Amino acid sequence: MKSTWLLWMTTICLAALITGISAAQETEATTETVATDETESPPDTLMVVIPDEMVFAAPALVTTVGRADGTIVHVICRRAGIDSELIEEVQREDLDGIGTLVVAMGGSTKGLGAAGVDADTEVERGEEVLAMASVADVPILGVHVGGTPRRGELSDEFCEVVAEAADALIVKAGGNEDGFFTEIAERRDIPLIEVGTNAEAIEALADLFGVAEDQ
Amino acid sequence: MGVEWFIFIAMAVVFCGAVILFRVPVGVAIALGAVSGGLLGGLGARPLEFLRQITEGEMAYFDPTLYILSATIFMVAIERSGLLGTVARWMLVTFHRSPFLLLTAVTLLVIFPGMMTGSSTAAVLSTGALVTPVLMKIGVPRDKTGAIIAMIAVYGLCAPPVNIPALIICAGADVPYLGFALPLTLLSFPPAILCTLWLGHRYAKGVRLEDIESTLPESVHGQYGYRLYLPLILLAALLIGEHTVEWLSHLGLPLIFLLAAASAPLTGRWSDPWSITQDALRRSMAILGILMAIGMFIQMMTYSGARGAITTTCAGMPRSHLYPIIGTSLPLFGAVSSYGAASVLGVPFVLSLLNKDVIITCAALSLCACLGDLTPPSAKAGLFAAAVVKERNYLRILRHCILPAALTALFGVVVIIFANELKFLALYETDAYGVGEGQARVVEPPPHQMLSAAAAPPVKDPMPWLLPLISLLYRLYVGFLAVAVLVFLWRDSGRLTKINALMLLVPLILRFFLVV
Amino acid sequence: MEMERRIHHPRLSSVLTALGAVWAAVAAVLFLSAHRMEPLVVGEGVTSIRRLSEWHTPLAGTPGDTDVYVLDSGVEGAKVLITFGTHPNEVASHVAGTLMVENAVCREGMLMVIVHTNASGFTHGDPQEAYPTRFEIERPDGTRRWFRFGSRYTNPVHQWPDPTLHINPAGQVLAGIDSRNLNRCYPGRPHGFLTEQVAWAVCELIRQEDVDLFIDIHEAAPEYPTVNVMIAHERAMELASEALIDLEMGIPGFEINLEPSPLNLRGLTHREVGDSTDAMAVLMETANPSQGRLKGRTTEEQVVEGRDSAYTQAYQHQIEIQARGTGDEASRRILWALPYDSASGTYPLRFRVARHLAGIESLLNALTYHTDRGIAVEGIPDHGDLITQGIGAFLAPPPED
Repeated sequence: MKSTWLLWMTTICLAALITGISAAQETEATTETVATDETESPPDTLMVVIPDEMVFAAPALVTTVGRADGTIVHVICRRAGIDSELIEEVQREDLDGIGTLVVAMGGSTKGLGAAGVDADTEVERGEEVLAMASVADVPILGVHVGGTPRRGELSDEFCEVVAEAADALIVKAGGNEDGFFTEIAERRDIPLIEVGTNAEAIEALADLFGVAEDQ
Repeated sequence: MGVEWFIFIAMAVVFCGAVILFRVPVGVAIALGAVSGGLLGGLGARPLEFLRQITEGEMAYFDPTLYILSATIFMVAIERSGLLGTVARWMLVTFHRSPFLLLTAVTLLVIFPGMMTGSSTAAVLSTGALVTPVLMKIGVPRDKTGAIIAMIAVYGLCAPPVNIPALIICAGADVPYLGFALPLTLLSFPPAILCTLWLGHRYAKGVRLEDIESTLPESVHGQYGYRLYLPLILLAALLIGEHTVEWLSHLGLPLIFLLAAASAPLTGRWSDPWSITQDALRRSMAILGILMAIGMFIQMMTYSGARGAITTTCAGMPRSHLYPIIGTSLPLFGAVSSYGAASVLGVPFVLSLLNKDVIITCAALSLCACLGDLTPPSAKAGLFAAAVVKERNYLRILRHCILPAALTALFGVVVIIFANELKFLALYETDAYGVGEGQARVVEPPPHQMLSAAAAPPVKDPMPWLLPLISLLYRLYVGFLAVAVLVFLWRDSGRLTKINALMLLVPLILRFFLVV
Repeated sequence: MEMERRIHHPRLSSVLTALGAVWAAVAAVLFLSAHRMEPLVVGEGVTSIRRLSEWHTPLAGTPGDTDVYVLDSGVEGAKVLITFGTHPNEVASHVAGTLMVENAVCREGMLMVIVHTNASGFTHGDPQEAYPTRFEIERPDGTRRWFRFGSRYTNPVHQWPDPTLHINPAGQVLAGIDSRNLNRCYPGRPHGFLTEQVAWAVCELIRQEDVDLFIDIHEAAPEYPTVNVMIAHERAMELASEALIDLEMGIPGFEINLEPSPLNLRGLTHREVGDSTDAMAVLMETANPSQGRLKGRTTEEQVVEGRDSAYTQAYQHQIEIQARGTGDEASRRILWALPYDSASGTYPLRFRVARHLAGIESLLNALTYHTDRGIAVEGIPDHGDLITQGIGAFLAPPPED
């Protein structure tokens, strides 16, 4: 009894000690990394020149891949003076007479839960919708307004699907701190507009759609 | 980071020192560890706050204490009424030729209360006690019998419909507890049966009835007839009714076990309820003391920041270590509490695994958390199994659980890794809430206009007198237990057992007077 | 088997009995003192104080009954109900509620505010969380106001026992303890558990008073993905979107996300109030380190200043990851996305309260601009002022005890 106890407890204490020490070391390691990273120069901001001929046309159909931020993007479009409609599950016939497909990117666990679908099904559905749009020759505009919280493993899948198919991207700066969208935009040679706030997003949308500011 | 770890290690050292050097009972030693943690955490200067924190920590285990006491009372009651011996004899006479069938039957019997109650202790103390003499008579040694019961009870904790760790993880991550039935069944039943066979197959050669005839427990079936089985039938009916009949769902486990126990003296050999209670207290006091002390211990770990240090260390590891950490930290955190492991570690883990199928992941994480009921010093399943098989040192029992538990943890981790491939198992019960596939299309309301509300779900209402009545019954029960514990404290011969009784007495008094 | 009817160690037994009596008595005094509610100074904008039991009479005289502060402008307009203190451990909620009651004045429409929605939950703490029972906020003149740090759950003394599983009024299966979690008990039941009755009373209030907009104020652990968000019922989605864009445009650097209320997670305000009443329902969350799983020692400083070594460390990981980019998947921490104030690495109470009040104001404005029934509320402390001057600057002097 006594010796077994001794063995157990020594093991537990040792394990605790080792974990504690390694944790302490990791803290130090972290601080060091941060310090070295700060000395490096920040990634260059991508300067975007939007080709003159690229004007997205109204009416816009707003939808999501990842079930997040659809209503916000819709309201942003409306405030930008763009005739738009929000449909979460786009069917082929919804695209008739549509000038642009505006896709809100990013995943929401609550949104997926609300729709009763899982991430994989949503990615498949998103790919189908984007394919339908390119078949119907409807230009695709990817919009990411969720910032850092709409990034990460769940969201990135959706963001990638949309960014790989879009004709242009509007991304709020917080969501592109790691250059995720920059990388895709550069590789695919599509315009990427980084905005700081929703107000700038409204302006950018108005510009892209050629809507007068005062509207 | 350093201070918190230092406090935690100091708490562990005080605990170990007390047990090893001074042979203090485990419960009292854990309490000493908790007190040392409070002192080091700066509570020494605030004695009143110290007392409040310690007592609040104890209250965490108040409800488990009640049902553990009720279940122990039930066990003693059916033992004294002759039911336990009769059933054990019947099982041996019926199954002695086909021990594999016997082992499977044992598994299913012991897993049932665990499924229904979400408590390994309830399983060990009810049907676990029932099958113990059976296993020992076919030749399974005492410690392995305990190990079999403890392991099955842990799988019972994981099995649907009630899996408390899964519910805790779901609550923390806002996942509906829906579609868990099949994944949890597959995570618990096959390992349970394999584990029993693995631990018991060597002894399952079959025995000749004549050889053990003389040592078989006495059957009182002839004397009392079928009414003898009423306590068991009542227990099963109430446990199932709890999930099917609306008003029965308010009874709660303590009352269910108590009602079943109350029927035992009336349907078999008579025994005085007061002496049944005292006997139950004597059998469970050491364990209840441990639970109370663990409540204090966790409270002091949280207060001093040690709990946060452990969680941060686990959650702050690189992702490449995620799976080994899940497989080890969840069961090991069970050293203090398996429910605590689910809440404190399970929730961060599921949040970091959002790209996996969430139902499968939660189910598998809960399996790993359930294994915590085997980790000493708390090791609830092992402790009570030791009490049931009358083995003094519960580590002898846990020794046999190490390998099956490790394999089970591995199984859980593998299931998490393949969660997306296994998601077809999570049959999502969409119809229950009208979230069918076709309705997923969100209809945008016309702008600037209020819509009328959707139809409210049907609201069932219990009878107005039901809940106050049940509350009153519980209060009376707690008052009765307080008196019983006080009498126990005076009559028991062990000095340190009296301290355990004291630790139990204070929460009972406080709850009886509706203080906390 | 019969118990020996003998007394062992009578001296030790009497000492332990006496010890138990003293322990229980002192603990009783300490725990019962937590039943005294924090003081609240009724502001000039409050036109009447009603009780929640007026909308569900069986609640009268129970620990679930609570004050409803009515700020009636007397001018026809929209009606809004805001509930604070649904979870009394989410302290920014009831502190924000106190600021509303002490400062806000309604000029059009009617505002109703419940500061301690789960009143019973304020009378105890969560075992194993080691919360303090109270914390203090200093006013500019040096006087101090105190607030309760309560529990997420109704006090078991007021609602007991818990069922094994709680099948809530909306049909969702939950752990037994959630029968005492107010935000899992909506839309409530008139004769159900006390907590369900409170939920029922809130829904009855909304139905009987024809409330147009219902806002529920919460906090969550920083590691929980749904923090710094609004969660809106589908009928409130548009309103919340408008409010959110206004917020981000009006306050530089303000980041907030909008989530739809899930259809399959039942019993929460944003789903059930939206489904079972005519009101639009929105819930708001901020991040509270003192209720998190990674938290270090819970101190008053952690509660008020939002400073916690574990979360600061987690935040550093986050900066590190952002600097490094996401390419190095394996070296990412298990948990990393923690919404912290990037300037200080902390999350002070005044930031969280300021967020909530700004969110409320924005929702009220959106309601006015985008529906035909307006509401005008003045005196809600400004976001910037709260952050620079602190919460104390907007609290009334402590009332005489």
